[in-house]
Amino acid sequence: MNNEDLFRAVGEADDSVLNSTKIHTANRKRLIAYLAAAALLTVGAAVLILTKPWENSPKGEHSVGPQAIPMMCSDPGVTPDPFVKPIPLPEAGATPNPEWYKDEGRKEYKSAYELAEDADCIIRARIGEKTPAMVQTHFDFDNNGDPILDESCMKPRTLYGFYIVEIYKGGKAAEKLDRLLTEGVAYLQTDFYLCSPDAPKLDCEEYILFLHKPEIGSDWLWDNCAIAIGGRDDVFEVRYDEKEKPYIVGRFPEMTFEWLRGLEN
Amino acid sequence: MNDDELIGLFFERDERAVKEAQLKYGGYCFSVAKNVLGSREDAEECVSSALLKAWDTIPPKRPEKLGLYLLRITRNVSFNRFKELSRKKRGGGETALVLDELSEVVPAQGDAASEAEYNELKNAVNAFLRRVSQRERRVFLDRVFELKQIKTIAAELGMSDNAVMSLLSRTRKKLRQYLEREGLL
Repeated sequence: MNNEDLFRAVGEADDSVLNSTKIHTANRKRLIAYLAAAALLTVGAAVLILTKPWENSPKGEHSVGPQAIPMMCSDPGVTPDPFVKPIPLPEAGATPNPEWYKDEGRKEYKSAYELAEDADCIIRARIGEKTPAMVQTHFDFDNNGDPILDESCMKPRTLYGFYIVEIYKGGKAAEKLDRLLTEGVAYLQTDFYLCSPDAPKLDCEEYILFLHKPEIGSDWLWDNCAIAIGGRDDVFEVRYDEKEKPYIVGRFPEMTFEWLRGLEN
Repeated sequence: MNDDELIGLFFERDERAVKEAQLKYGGYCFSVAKNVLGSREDAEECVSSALLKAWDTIPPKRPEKLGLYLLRITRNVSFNRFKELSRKKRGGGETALVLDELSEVVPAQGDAASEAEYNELKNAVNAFLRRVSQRERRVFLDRVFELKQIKTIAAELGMSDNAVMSLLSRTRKKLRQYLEREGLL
Protein backbone atom coordinates (compact mmCIF):
# COMPACT_ATOMS: atom_id res chain seq x y z
CA MET A 1 0.00 0.00 0.00
CA ASN A 2 1.32 3.48 -0.76
CA ASN A 3 0.31 7.11 -0.71
CA GLU A 4 -1.26 6.89 -4.15
CA ASP A 5 -3.62 4.21 -2.87
CA LEU A 6 -4.62 6.58 -0.12
CA PHE A 7 -5.06 9.40 -2.59
CA ARG A 8 -7.38 7.24 -4.68
CA ALA A 9 -9.23 5.96 -1.64
CA VAL A 10 -10.03 9.51 -0.55
CA GLY A 11 -11.29 10.12 -4.07
CA GLU A 12 -13.81 7.35 -3.57
CA ALA A 13 -15.16 8.60 -0.27
CA ASP A 14 -18.89 8.10 0.08
CA ASP A 15 -21.28 10.70 -1.22
CA SER A 16 -22.52 11.35 2.28
CA VAL A 17 -19.02 12.11 3.51
CA LEU A 18 -18.24 14.41 0.62
CA ASN A 19 -21.61 16.08 0.70
CA SER A 20 -21.42 16.83 4.38
CA THR A 21 -18.79 19.48 3.81
CA LYS A 22 -20.73 21.47 1.31
CA ILE A 23 -22.92 23.89 3.14
CA HIS A 24 -22.60 27.20 1.51
CA THR A 25 -25.73 28.93 0.44
CA ALA A 26 -27.22 31.73 2.44
CA ASN A 27 -30.64 30.12 2.55
CA ARG A 28 -29.19 26.94 3.82
CA LYS A 29 -27.18 28.83 6.36
CA ARG A 30 -30.30 30.45 7.64
CA LEU A 31 -32.09 27.13 7.78
CA ILE A 32 -29.17 25.51 9.56
CA ALA A 33 -29.02 28.31 12.07
CA TYR A 34 -32.67 27.89 12.88
CA LEU A 35 -32.34 24.12 12.99
CA ALA A 36 -29.37 24.41 15.28
CA ALA A 37 -31.22 26.72 17.61
CA ALA A 38 -34.14 24.32 17.60
CA ALA A 39 -31.82 21.39 18.28
CA LEU A 40 -30.25 23.22 21.19
CA LEU A 41 -33.63 23.94 22.67
CA THR A 42 -34.74 20.35 22.23
CA VAL A 43 -31.66 18.85 23.78
CA GLY A 44 -31.66 21.42 26.56
CA ALA A 45 -35.22 20.47 27.36
CA ALA A 46 -34.17 16.81 27.37
CA VAL A 47 -31.41 17.64 29.85
CA LEU A 48 -33.93 19.35 32.06
CA ILE A 49 -36.30 16.44 31.93
CA LEU A 50 -33.57 13.92 32.61
CA THR A 51 -31.92 15.79 35.45
CA LYS A 52 -35.12 17.17 37.06
CA PRO A 53 -33.30 20.08 38.61
CA TRP A 54 -36.44 21.35 40.31
CA GLU A 55 -36.43 18.31 42.56
CA ASN A 56 -33.15 19.48 44.12
CA SER A 57 -34.10 23.12 44.51
CA PRO A 58 -34.13 24.49 48.00
CA LYS A 59 -37.64 25.50 48.92
CA GLY A 60 -38.54 28.98 47.83
CA GLU A 61 -35.51 29.38 45.54
CA HIS A 62 -35.56 29.36 41.82
CA SER A 63 -32.63 27.44 40.55
CA VAL A 64 -34.05 27.07 37.09
CA GLY A 65 -34.99 29.76 34.71
CA PRO A 66 -33.95 33.26 33.94
CA GLN A 67 -33.36 34.13 37.57
CA ALA A 68 -30.55 31.61 37.69
CA ILE A 69 -28.78 33.04 34.69
CA PRO A 70 -26.81 36.20 35.26
CA MET A 71 -26.84 38.64 32.40
CA MET A 72 -23.33 39.54 31.38
CA CYS A 73 -21.99 41.45 28.46
CA SER A 74 -18.57 41.41 26.90
CA ASP A 75 -17.62 44.46 28.83
CA PRO A 76 -13.95 44.64 29.82
CA GLY A 77 -14.98 45.76 33.26
CA VAL A 78 -17.17 42.78 33.84
CA THR A 79 -18.12 42.22 37.43
CA PRO A 80 -17.11 38.83 38.83
CA ASP A 81 -20.04 36.53 38.85
CA PRO A 82 -21.00 35.24 42.28
CA PHE A 83 -21.61 31.85 40.75
CA VAL A 84 -18.03 31.59 39.59
CA LYS A 85 -15.76 29.78 41.99
CA PRO A 86 -12.18 29.83 40.71
CA ILE A 87 -10.41 26.55 41.11
CA PRO A 88 -7.07 26.38 42.94
CA LEU A 89 -4.03 26.81 40.74
CA PRO A 90 -1.82 23.77 40.28
CA GLU A 91 1.10 23.42 42.61
CA ALA A 92 4.21 25.36 41.77
CA GLY A 93 6.36 23.54 39.28
CA ALA A 94 3.58 21.31 38.12
CA THR A 95 4.20 20.06 34.65
CA PRO A 96 1.72 18.67 32.18
CA ASN A 97 1.35 14.94 32.26
CA PRO A 98 1.93 13.67 28.72
CA GLU A 99 -0.52 10.85 29.34
CA TRP A 100 -3.31 13.36 29.48
CA TYR A 101 -2.98 14.58 25.98
CA LYS A 102 -1.10 11.91 24.13
CA ASP A 103 -3.77 10.27 22.06
CA GLU A 104 -5.86 11.43 19.14
CA GLY A 105 -2.84 12.85 17.43
CA ARG A 106 -2.37 15.60 19.98
CA LYS A 107 1.01 14.56 21.24
CA GLU A 108 2.49 17.98 21.26
CA TYR A 109 2.29 20.39 24.11
CA LYS A 110 0.17 23.37 23.34
CA SER A 111 -0.21 26.34 25.55
CA ALA A 112 -3.48 28.13 25.79
CA TYR A 113 -1.80 31.08 24.10
CA GLU A 114 -1.05 28.91 21.11
CA LEU A 115 -4.57 27.60 21.15
CA ALA A 116 -5.88 31.12 21.31
CA GLU A 117 -3.71 32.23 18.45
CA ASP A 118 -5.21 29.53 16.30
CA ALA A 119 -8.69 30.19 17.50
CA ASP A 120 -11.03 32.46 15.71
CA CYS A 121 -12.93 33.39 18.74
CA ILE A 122 -13.04 32.79 22.41
CA ILE A 123 -16.16 32.09 24.27
CA ARG A 124 -16.04 32.65 27.93
CA ALA A 125 -18.46 30.31 29.52
CA ARG A 126 -19.36 29.07 32.91
CA ILE A 127 -20.24 25.52 33.66
CA GLY A 128 -23.65 25.35 35.12
CA GLU A 129 -24.43 24.27 38.58
CA LYS A 130 -25.91 20.88 39.17
CA THR A 131 -29.15 22.34 38.02
CA PRO A 132 -28.90 23.21 34.36
CA ALA A 133 -30.83 26.35 33.79
CA MET A 134 -33.49 26.81 31.25
CA VAL A 135 -32.22 27.17 27.74
CA GLN A 136 -32.56 30.67 26.48
CA THR A 137 -31.50 30.90 22.92
CA HIS A 138 -31.29 34.29 21.41
CA PHE A 139 -29.92 35.10 18.02
CA ASP A 140 -30.26 38.05 15.80
CA PHE A 141 -29.67 37.57 12.13
CA ASP A 142 -27.95 39.86 9.72
CA ASN A 143 -29.08 40.52 6.17
CA ASN A 144 -27.42 37.37 4.92
CA GLY A 145 -29.21 35.24 7.39
CA ASP A 146 -26.13 34.66 9.49
CA PRO A 147 -26.55 34.81 13.21
CA ILE A 148 -24.97 37.83 14.79
CA LEU A 149 -22.69 36.63 17.51
CA ASP A 150 -20.13 39.31 17.92
CA GLU A 151 -19.10 41.35 20.88
CA SER A 152 -22.53 42.70 21.43
CA CYS A 153 -24.24 41.60 24.53
CA MET A 154 -26.31 38.51 24.05
CA LYS A 155 -28.64 36.75 26.31
CA PRO A 156 -26.93 34.04 28.24
CA ARG A 157 -28.21 30.58 27.73
CA THR A 158 -27.23 27.17 28.79
CA LEU A 159 -26.16 24.27 26.72
CA TYR A 160 -25.55 21.10 28.58
CA GLY A 161 -24.72 23.15 31.58
CA PHE A 162 -22.70 25.83 29.88
CA TYR A 163 -23.75 29.35 30.46
CA ILE A 164 -22.43 31.41 27.65
CA VAL A 165 -21.65 34.72 29.15
CA GLU A 166 -19.31 36.39 26.72
CA ILE A 167 -18.35 35.93 23.15
CA TYR A 168 -15.24 37.33 21.62
CA LYS A 169 -14.85 37.32 17.93
CA GLY A 170 -12.03 38.23 15.64
CA GLY A 171 -8.47 37.46 14.92
CA LYS A 172 -7.15 38.98 18.12
CA ALA A 173 -8.25 36.17 20.33
CA ALA A 174 -4.90 36.00 22.08
CA GLU A 175 -5.13 39.62 23.13
CA LYS A 176 -8.52 39.02 24.63
CA LEU A 177 -7.12 36.05 26.41
CA ASP A 178 -4.52 38.15 28.18
CA ARG A 179 -7.18 39.93 30.14
CA LEU A 180 -9.13 36.80 30.85
CA LEU A 181 -6.08 34.99 32.14
CA THR A 182 -5.68 37.50 34.89
CA GLU A 183 -8.93 36.43 36.43
CA GLY A 184 -7.51 33.23 37.86
CA VAL A 185 -10.02 30.82 36.49
CA ALA A 186 -9.72 27.43 34.84
CA TYR A 187 -9.98 27.04 31.17
CA LEU A 188 -11.46 24.54 28.86
CA GLN A 189 -10.59 24.25 25.23
CA THR A 190 -12.78 22.65 22.73
CA ASP A 191 -13.68 22.95 19.15
CA PHE A 192 -17.28 22.45 19.98
CA TYR A 193 -19.49 22.57 22.97
CA LEU A 194 -19.15 19.31 24.73
CA CYS A 195 -19.88 19.00 28.35
CA SER A 196 -21.56 16.59 30.58
CA PRO A 197 -23.78 18.44 33.00
CA ASP A 198 -23.00 15.87 35.63
CA ALA A 199 -19.26 15.83 35.15
CA PRO A 200 -18.15 16.66 38.69
CA LYS A 201 -14.87 18.21 37.63
CA LEU A 202 -16.65 20.81 35.63
CA ASP A 203 -19.23 21.78 38.14
CA CYS A 204 -19.72 25.42 38.81
CA GLU A 205 -16.44 26.67 37.44
CA GLU A 206 -15.53 29.02 34.75
CA TYR A 207 -13.92 28.07 31.51
CA ILE A 208 -12.76 29.49 28.30
CA LEU A 209 -13.65 27.81 25.09
CA PHE A 210 -11.46 28.42 22.13
CA LEU A 211 -13.51 27.95 19.08
CA HIS A 212 -11.30 27.04 16.20
CA LYS A 213 -13.90 27.99 13.75
CA PRO A 214 -13.41 29.76 10.51
CA GLU A 215 -16.25 32.05 11.31
CA ILE A 216 -18.80 32.65 13.91
CA GLY A 217 -21.81 32.01 11.85
CA SER A 218 -23.92 29.23 10.65
CA ASP A 219 -20.98 26.84 10.36
CA TRP A 220 -20.43 27.31 14.03
CA LEU A 221 -24.03 26.57 14.69
CA TRP A 222 -23.93 23.70 12.31
CA ASP A 223 -21.13 22.14 14.25
CA ASN A 224 -23.07 22.54 17.42
CA CYS A 225 -26.03 21.07 15.70
CA ALA A 226 -23.84 18.10 14.91
CA ILE A 227 -24.68 16.80 18.34
CA ALA A 228 -27.72 15.47 16.60
CA ILE A 229 -25.72 13.54 14.06
CA GLY A 230 -22.78 12.27 16.03
CA GLY A 231 -19.06 12.66 15.87
CA ARG A 232 -16.57 13.48 18.57
CA ASP A 233 -13.97 15.94 19.50
CA ASP A 234 -11.49 16.69 22.19
CA VAL A 235 -12.21 18.54 25.36
CA PHE A 236 -9.32 19.83 27.38
CA GLU A 237 -8.83 21.55 30.63
CA VAL A 238 -6.06 24.10 30.65
CA ARG A 239 -4.29 25.39 33.74
CA TYR A 240 -1.24 27.47 34.53
CA ASP A 241 2.34 26.38 34.69
CA GLU A 242 4.89 27.81 37.09
CA LYS A 243 5.40 30.78 34.80
CA GLU A 244 1.69 31.37 34.85
CA LYS A 245 1.38 30.21 31.32
CA PRO A 246 -1.60 28.03 30.78
CA TYR A 247 -1.21 24.44 29.67
CA ILE A 248 -3.41 21.46 29.04
CA VAL A 249 -3.76 19.27 32.05
CA GLY A 250 -6.67 17.07 31.33
CA ARG A 251 -8.78 15.56 28.70
CA PHE A 252 -12.34 14.52 29.13
CA PRO A 253 -12.87 11.59 26.85
CA GLU A 254 -16.23 10.85 28.38
CA MET A 255 -17.65 14.00 26.92
CA THR A 256 -18.36 12.96 23.43
CA PHE A 257 -21.05 13.50 20.95
CA GLU A 258 -22.00 9.90 21.50
CA TRP A 259 -22.67 10.74 25.10
CA LEU A 260 -24.88 13.59 24.06
CA ARG A 261 -26.67 11.43 21.59
CA GLY A 262 -27.40 9.08 24.44
CA LEU A 263 -29.22 11.93 26.10
CA GLU A 264 -31.32 12.51 23.07
CA ASN A 265 -32.20 8.88 22.74
CA MET B 1 -32.35 21.01 -14.98
CA ASN B 2 -32.22 18.84 -11.92
CA ASP B 3 -30.11 15.72 -11.51
CA ASP B 4 -32.98 13.30 -12.09
CA GLU B 5 -33.81 14.95 -15.40
CA LEU B 6 -30.16 14.97 -16.35
CA ILE B 7 -29.70 11.31 -15.54
CA GLY B 8 -32.90 10.68 -17.47
CA LEU B 9 -31.24 12.18 -20.54
CA PHE B 10 -28.26 9.85 -20.08
CA PHE B 11 -30.61 6.90 -19.86
CA GLU B 12 -32.48 7.98 -22.97
CA ARG B 13 -29.10 8.26 -24.72
CA ASP B 14 -29.89 11.88 -25.48
CA GLU B 15 -26.66 13.68 -26.30
CA ARG B 16 -27.89 16.81 -24.58
CA ALA B 17 -27.02 14.95 -21.39
CA VAL B 18 -23.31 15.63 -21.85
CA LYS B 19 -23.88 19.26 -22.71
CA GLU B 20 -26.18 19.84 -19.76
CA ALA B 21 -23.85 18.02 -17.40
CA GLN B 22 -21.02 20.17 -18.69
CA LEU B 23 -23.07 23.29 -18.07
CA LYS B 24 -24.09 22.28 -14.60
CA TYR B 25 -20.96 20.62 -13.25
CA GLY B 26 -18.26 21.40 -15.78
CA GLY B 27 -16.92 24.38 -13.83
CA TYR B 28 -16.59 22.48 -10.59
CA CYS B 29 -14.94 19.51 -12.33
CA PHE B 30 -12.62 21.85 -14.17
CA SER B 31 -11.46 23.51 -10.98
CA VAL B 32 -10.53 20.15 -9.46
CA ALA B 33 -8.82 18.99 -12.65
CA LYS B 34 -6.91 22.24 -12.75
CA ASN B 35 -5.85 21.76 -9.13
CA VAL B 36 -4.61 18.29 -9.98
CA LEU B 37 -2.79 19.22 -13.14
CA GLY B 38 -2.02 22.90 -12.93
CA SER B 39 -2.68 23.34 -16.61
CA ARG B 40 -5.83 24.76 -18.10
CA GLU B 41 -5.57 22.79 -21.34
CA ASP B 42 -4.93 19.48 -19.62
CA ALA B 43 -7.76 20.17 -17.21
CA GLU B 44 -10.22 20.89 -20.02
CA GLU B 45 -9.21 17.67 -21.73
CA CYS B 46 -9.73 15.70 -18.57
CA VAL B 47 -13.18 17.17 -17.98
CA SER B 48 -14.17 16.22 -21.52
CA SER B 49 -12.83 12.70 -20.97
CA ALA B 50 -14.71 12.47 -17.69
CA LEU B 51 -17.97 13.47 -19.33
CA LEU B 52 -17.45 10.85 -22.01
CA LYS B 53 -16.77 8.26 -19.33
CA ALA B 54 -19.98 9.27 -17.64
CA TRP B 55 -21.76 8.84 -20.97
CA ASP B 56 -20.30 5.35 -21.23
CA THR B 57 -21.20 4.31 -17.71
CA ILE B 58 -24.67 5.84 -17.28
CA PRO B 59 -26.60 3.60 -17.82
CA PRO B 60 -26.32 1.07 -16.26
CA LYS B 61 -24.91 3.14 -13.44
CA ARG B 62 -27.40 5.50 -11.81
CA PRO B 63 -25.41 7.78 -9.50
CA GLU B 64 -27.17 9.19 -6.48
CA LYS B 65 -25.24 12.44 -6.71
CA LEU B 66 -24.40 13.17 -10.28
CA GLY B 67 -22.09 16.07 -9.40
CA LEU B 68 -19.95 13.97 -7.09
CA TYR B 69 -19.95 11.12 -9.57
CA LEU B 70 -18.61 13.37 -12.30
CA LEU B 71 -16.15 14.90 -9.89
CA ARG B 72 -14.76 11.51 -8.92
CA ILE B 73 -14.31 10.51 -12.55
CA THR B 74 -12.65 13.83 -13.30
CA ARG B 75 -10.30 13.43 -10.37
CA ASN B 76 -9.35 9.91 -11.43
CA VAL B 77 -8.83 10.87 -15.05
CA SER B 78 -6.82 13.90 -14.00
CA PHE B 79 -4.71 11.87 -11.61
CA ASN B 80 -3.92 9.34 -14.33
CA ARG B 81 -2.98 12.19 -16.58
CA PHE B 82 -0.81 13.63 -13.83
CA LYS B 83 1.07 10.36 -13.55
CA GLU B 84 1.55 10.22 -17.28
CA LEU B 85 2.91 13.76 -17.26
CA SER B 86 5.12 13.05 -14.25
CA ARG B 87 6.83 10.28 -16.14
CA LYS B 88 7.60 12.85 -18.80
CA LYS B 89 8.79 15.25 -16.12
CA ARG B 90 5.97 17.61 -16.82
CA GLY B 91 2.93 18.62 -14.90
CA GLY B 92 2.24 21.01 -12.11
CA GLY B 93 -0.71 21.53 -9.83
CA GLU B 94 -1.01 20.49 -6.25
CA THR B 95 -0.93 16.73 -6.75
CA ALA B 96 2.75 16.19 -6.06
CA LEU B 97 2.48 18.23 -2.86
CA VAL B 98 -0.64 16.43 -1.70
CA LEU B 99 0.94 13.05 -2.40
CA ASP B 100 3.95 14.13 -0.45
CA GLU B 101 1.73 15.15 2.46
CA LEU B 102 -0.09 11.83 2.29
CA SER B 103 3.19 9.99 2.51
CA GLU B 104 3.18 11.05 6.17
CA VAL B 105 0.23 8.72 6.53
CA VAL B 106 1.14 5.94 4.11
CA PRO B 107 4.71 5.90 2.79
CA ALA B 108 5.25 6.43 -0.89
CA GLN B 109 7.64 3.52 -1.28
CA GLY B 110 5.19 0.70 -0.61
CA ASP B 111 3.84 -1.60 -3.30
CA ALA B 112 0.43 -0.77 -4.69
CA ALA B 113 -2.36 -2.27 -2.61
CA SER B 114 -4.07 -5.45 -3.71
CA GLU B 115 -7.76 -5.15 -4.49
CA ALA B 116 -8.71 -6.49 -1.07
CA GLU B 117 -6.30 -4.16 0.71
CA TYR B 118 -7.53 -1.24 -1.32
CA ASN B 119 -11.15 -1.97 -0.44
CA GLU B 120 -10.25 -2.14 3.22
CA LEU B 121 -8.39 1.13 2.94
CA LYS B 122 -11.37 2.76 1.24
CA ASN B 123 -13.70 1.62 3.99
CA ALA B 124 -11.31 2.77 6.68
CA VAL B 125 -10.92 6.18 5.07
CA ASN B 126 -14.68 6.55 4.92
CA ALA B 127 -15.07 5.52 8.53
CA PHE B 128 -12.31 7.89 9.59
CA LEU B 129 -13.83 10.81 7.75
CA ARG B 130 -17.13 10.19 9.50
CA ARG B 131 -15.42 10.26 12.88
CA VAL B 132 -13.57 13.53 12.60
CA SER B 133 -15.15 16.89 13.13
CA GLN B 134 -16.82 18.63 10.26
CA ARG B 135 -14.08 21.22 10.16
CA GLU B 136 -11.34 18.62 9.95
CA ARG B 137 -13.25 16.74 7.30
CA ARG B 138 -13.90 19.83 5.27
CA VAL B 139 -10.31 21.02 5.29
CA PHE B 140 -8.93 17.54 4.65
CA LEU B 141 -11.25 16.94 1.70
CA ASP B 142 -10.65 20.39 0.31
CA ARG B 143 -6.98 19.56 0.26
CA VAL B 144 -6.91 15.89 -0.67
CA PHE B 145 -10.10 15.44 -2.64
CA GLU B 146 -10.29 18.78 -4.40
CA LEU B 147 -6.56 19.50 -4.18
CA LYS B 148 -7.12 23.10 -3.30
CA GLN B 149 -4.14 25.21 -2.42
CA ILE B 150 -3.58 25.92 1.26
CA LYS B 151 -4.06 29.62 0.72
CA THR B 152 -7.35 29.00 -1.10
CA ILE B 153 -8.68 26.91 1.76
CA ALA B 154 -7.50 29.49 4.26
CA ALA B 155 -9.18 32.30 2.36
CA GLU B 156 -12.43 30.39 1.95
CA LEU B 157 -12.62 29.49 5.60
CA GLY B 158 -11.23 32.72 7.00
CA MET B 159 -8.31 30.93 8.60
CA SER B 160 -4.61 31.65 8.46
CA ASP B 161 -2.42 29.49 6.22
CA ASN B 162 -0.66 28.22 9.32
CA ALA B 163 -3.90 27.22 10.96
CA VAL B 164 -4.91 25.25 7.86
CA MET B 165 -1.54 23.51 7.66
CA SER B 166 -1.59 22.71 11.33
CA LEU B 167 -5.11 21.32 11.13
CA LEU B 168 -4.17 19.20 8.12
CA SER B 169 -1.12 17.89 9.88
CA ARG B 170 -3.18 16.88 12.92
CA THR B 171 -5.77 15.20 10.73
CA ARG B 172 -3.10 13.24 8.89
CA LYS B 173 -1.64 12.10 12.19
CA LYS B 174 -5.07 11.01 13.34
CA LEU B 175 -5.62 9.17 10.08
CA ARG B 176 -2.32 7.37 10.42
CA GLN B 177 -3.16 6.34 13.98
CA TYR B 178 -6.58 5.21 12.88
CA LEU B 179 -5.18 3.09 10.05
CA GLU B 180 -2.66 1.60 12.46
CA ARG B 181 -5.40 0.73 14.91
CA GLU B 182 -7.36 -0.86 12.10
CA GLY B 183 -4.34 -3.00 11.27
CA LEU B 184 -3.88 -1.49 7.83
CA LEU B 185 -0.40 -0.13 8.47
